[in-house]
Amino acid sequence: MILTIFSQVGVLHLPLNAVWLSSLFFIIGGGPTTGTTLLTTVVADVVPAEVRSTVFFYRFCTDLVADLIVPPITSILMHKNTWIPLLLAVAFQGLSVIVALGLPETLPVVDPKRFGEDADVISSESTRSEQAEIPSKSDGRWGSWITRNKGSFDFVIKDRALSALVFTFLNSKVGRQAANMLFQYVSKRYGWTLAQVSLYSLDPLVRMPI
Amino acid sequence: MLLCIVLAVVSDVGESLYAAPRVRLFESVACTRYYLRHDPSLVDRAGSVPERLCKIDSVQDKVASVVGWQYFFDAIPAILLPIPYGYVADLRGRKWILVLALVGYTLSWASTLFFVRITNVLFTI
Repeated sequence: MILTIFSQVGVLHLPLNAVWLSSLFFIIGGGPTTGTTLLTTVVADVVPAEVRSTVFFYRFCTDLVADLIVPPITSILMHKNTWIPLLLAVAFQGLSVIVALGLPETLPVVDPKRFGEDADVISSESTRSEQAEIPSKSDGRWGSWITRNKGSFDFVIKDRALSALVFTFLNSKVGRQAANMLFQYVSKRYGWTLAQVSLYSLDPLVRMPI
Repeated sequence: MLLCIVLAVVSDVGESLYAAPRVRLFESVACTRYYLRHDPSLVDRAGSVPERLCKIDSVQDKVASVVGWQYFFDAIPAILLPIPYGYVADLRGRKWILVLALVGYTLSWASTLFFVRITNVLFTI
């Protein structure tokens, strides 16, 4: 099998571009977007509403801690061999699969009492969208699926604070992508090796206290 | 709860470990390819070129385009799939969809390395 892939990549004459095929694997499970979202959902499921924002800060602070500590280590490893951090990264990602297997199922059991509670919270926060937010979980037909999704879009668009929030997320995402591009740019502009650039990415140090 | 945090840390450590070396990996491949065509004497026997020689426009353009399009292709499933998967997660439970997402993520990295490895081997032959 390896031999056929060999010859195919050779025939295509686009060897490095073959890495684009790796995106195909995101079809399994939807990739990192689904991953982060679901992890956040699980946290939201477990934590009571009063302390939710605090716990969310902790949850995203861990991201920053990892962003702070790991790049210097990456830098050291890259000096030895580029393949060491790469293979380690895959190993860590594999480890996260194992950790995820250990997670308990947190899908809230649909019980009428909690439902009422949730609806109360929503109606007190926003006036218009309570109709859309009560999901019909037992109803699995296609039509209801579309109305349900339309409902959740309306929920985002109608509430102005929520739209603003979503837009902020978009902005911060653009910022992150730009930071990834920065690796290459800084390295070329100042003639540093990529290992050095990785060492100097200190922006989590600024963001963490915030 | 603690397990969630552990999961977030492990996954993020992986992500931070991956970002910079991946660019270097693409660069080294594009670089070797360039020098094989233009000045093979600079390519050593293991098929690599000193990194400082790689900071030239034609190599960097190639790397930028590969990385840029990679983001583009990554974004397509990321835009389309969370809606159905989120629906299933609400219906059947979060855990298995989360596991599935992480498996897909891991496989995509592993396959990237796999493809680059093949590319490398092809160059040195």
